[in-house]
Amino acid sequence: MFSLRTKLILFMGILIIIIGILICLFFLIHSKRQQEESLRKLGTSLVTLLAQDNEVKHALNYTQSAFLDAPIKKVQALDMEEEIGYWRISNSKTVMVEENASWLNIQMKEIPTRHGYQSSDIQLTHRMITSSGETFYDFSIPVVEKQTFSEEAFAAQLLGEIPAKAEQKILGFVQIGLSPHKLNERIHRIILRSIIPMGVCIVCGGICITFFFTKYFVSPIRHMASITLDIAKGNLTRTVDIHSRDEIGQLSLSFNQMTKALKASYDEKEKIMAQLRENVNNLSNANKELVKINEQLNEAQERLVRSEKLAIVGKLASGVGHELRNPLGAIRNALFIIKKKSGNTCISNDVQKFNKLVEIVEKETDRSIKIVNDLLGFSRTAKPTVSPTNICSIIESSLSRLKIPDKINKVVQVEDTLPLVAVDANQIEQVLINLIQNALDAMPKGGWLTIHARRENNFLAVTITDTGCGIPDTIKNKIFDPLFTTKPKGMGLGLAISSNIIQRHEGSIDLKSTEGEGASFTVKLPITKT
Amino acid sequence: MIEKYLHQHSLKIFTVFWFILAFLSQISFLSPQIFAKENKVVIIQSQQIAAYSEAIKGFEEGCKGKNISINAIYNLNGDADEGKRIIQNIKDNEFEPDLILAVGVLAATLVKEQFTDVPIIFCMVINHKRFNLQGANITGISSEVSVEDQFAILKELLGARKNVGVIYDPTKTGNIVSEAGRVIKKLEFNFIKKEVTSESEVTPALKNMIDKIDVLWMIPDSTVITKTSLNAISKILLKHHLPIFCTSDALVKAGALVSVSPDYTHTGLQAARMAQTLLNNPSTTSLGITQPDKLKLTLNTQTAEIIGVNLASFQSHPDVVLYP
Repeated sequence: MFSLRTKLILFMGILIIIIGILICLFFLIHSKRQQEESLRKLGTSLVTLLAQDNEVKHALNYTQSAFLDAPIKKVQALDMEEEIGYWRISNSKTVMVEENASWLNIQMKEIPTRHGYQSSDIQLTHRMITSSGETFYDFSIPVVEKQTFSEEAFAAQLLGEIPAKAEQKILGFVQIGLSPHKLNERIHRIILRSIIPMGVCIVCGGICITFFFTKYFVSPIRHMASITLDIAKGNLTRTVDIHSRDEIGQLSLSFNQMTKALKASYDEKEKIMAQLRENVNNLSNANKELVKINEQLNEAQERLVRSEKLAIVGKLASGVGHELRNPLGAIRNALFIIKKKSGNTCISNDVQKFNKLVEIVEKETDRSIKIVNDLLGFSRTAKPTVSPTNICSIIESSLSRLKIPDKINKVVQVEDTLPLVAVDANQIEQVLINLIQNALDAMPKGGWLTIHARRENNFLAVTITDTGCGIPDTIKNKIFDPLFTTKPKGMGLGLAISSNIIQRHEGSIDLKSTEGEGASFTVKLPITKT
Repeated sequence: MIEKYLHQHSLKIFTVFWFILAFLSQISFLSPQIFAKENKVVIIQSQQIAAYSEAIKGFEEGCKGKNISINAIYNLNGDADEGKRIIQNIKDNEFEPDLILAVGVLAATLVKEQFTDVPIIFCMVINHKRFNLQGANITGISSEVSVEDQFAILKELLGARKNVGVIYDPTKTGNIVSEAGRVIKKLEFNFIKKEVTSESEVTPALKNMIDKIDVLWMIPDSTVITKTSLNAISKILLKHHLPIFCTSDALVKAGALVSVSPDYTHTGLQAARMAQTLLNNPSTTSLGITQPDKLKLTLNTQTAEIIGVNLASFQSHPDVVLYP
């Protein structure tokens, strides 16, 4: 909310204002008392002067008002600031003089007349208020007969003559009323010229001092706060440069010590963190290597499994092929003889039916022979006999050996300057025939067959793309396995044989397929280094 | 028988008369002026009180046959204004006195102010040192007994008791107390002092010191001695059976035990002698301020009885006045 400095300024400001007000109040009361005292002294002096005047005594003694003019004028002359509001001189018989100042509108009867005082003490009545609201300080003093010189009275007492205080005859009374209007004016003047400027000076001076004092007091704390912020941001090299011997100095010293300790701790942490990071990196690298090794292992395992499968299948195919090819050959030969002889002996009506059956048997036998050959081919896949070959010719040869339906559009894209590749042309041709045949089989309703040959770094890539039904993700890993097929009349050996041939050429065969959109097989063969 | 006596000693008588005549003729030859001119003296008294009258009476007696004539006795009635007016009148007259006797403090102070070239003798001024009554033409007789004399009597009165209390207003009687301080050390008294500035402080000051003192020494201090305070002081001292020692027989009448004061008539006589000296030696205008010649001791037997003091030894003193 508020800063420390604002709070200090507010607190000190309020304190100074209170002190200033109290000082002003004290000064005001003191000034007022002084003014009242001086008014009292003036009143006492004037009334005493009048009461001790011989003319007044004479006038009172003989009730002669005429003698009073001179003393009254003398007193009025002394009243420089016209503070006398009224005066009254009376003896026991009558009021001899009773007047009020011309500027004052009061009824003298409102002012009580003094009678019968036996004491000569001056009576001072504060704030005698008339019905018109005028306030007066009333001074009354009895006028006594001439008094004995005090030291003579004392001498007479010591010498045993008369009592210490002889009762003296009171001739009359002198009464003077002083109006406090000048006193009030003086007090107002003091307030305006002294008290208010003094109060303002005290408050302003105090606030200025407070302002600078708080600045002096708070600036080290602010400095420390900014340094703390820097330190919080990580700049641990900052230190507080305060060398005072007070609590702030001690705090800055402690703060510097804390920063030093923090920096040492931070450095140590950074060192440990660096070690940790290094360890993590090492671990990460090791992990990557492990993953890689694991992948290699998985691949090797898969290859091993596949090889084992291939070996088993090959062994089985070899056995079955050997065992079936000879009987199938004998069947075929026998059919050939049957076919030849039946043409001469059979009734013409039955010849057609018989021939049709023989053709069926022949066709199926051929097919069985082909299967057996395939099995034998699979089992006998030998190390390829490589020779530099133009891939383009292999593609063309493959396409020529296949019958492509009309509803399938064929696109062949071969880059012009493709290098020769060291491959077994027959085996690669077999691979391409298998792949193209699969693509054609995938598009029974027609579509686009695209063959694209190109160079990719040190490999020559041939991609065969169809727009058929595509291969589901669930079987993508199995399609290169032997005996796995989705075709009703397939043996599931084509892709297995193809994969086997490509591996033997140290190449690779990849599949990209989205179900419903088609499939794309890419065969990569290493380019011969010349 | 007388004739026989004269016959036998006629030679001796003749010789004596001859010497007397020769002596008188010598004196008349050496100082013809003394006999030629009569000195005129004016007496001014502050007011009409018995003590002053006694002193004036003594002076008059002392002047008789001394070629001193007292032209007038003026009474200032204790009023400063009237006193000034009277003295101004005396001054305005063509008659100029050869010497003025001022009786009382008011007369002394006013005469000192107005007459600077006429020899003045003052007397009956209580604590004259307060009023600066000194000057080339001023001679005076102190109305106070010296502190030494007072304390000599006090020592006799106190016996083994040593603690003397005093209450005083330093502005009025500070000089007396400081002088007493010096004397009192020699006499091995303990001085217990209390300063006051107003009458109202007297009783509390006395109560404060009453348990520490053996006697109260009352000096002529107008702040301390008033009618009211005097009654209170007397009562407190009597209650504690302690004596008051003072320099005013009026205070003895008011309850103090003992006072040492000048004999007023003798003061007048002393003044007359001094006047004679001054008038006979016109070149001498002042004889300074001297102590009174004769003292009187006033004792209050009633007070002595109450507080249990034996005054037998004092009663044998010369010039003792017993009261009541």
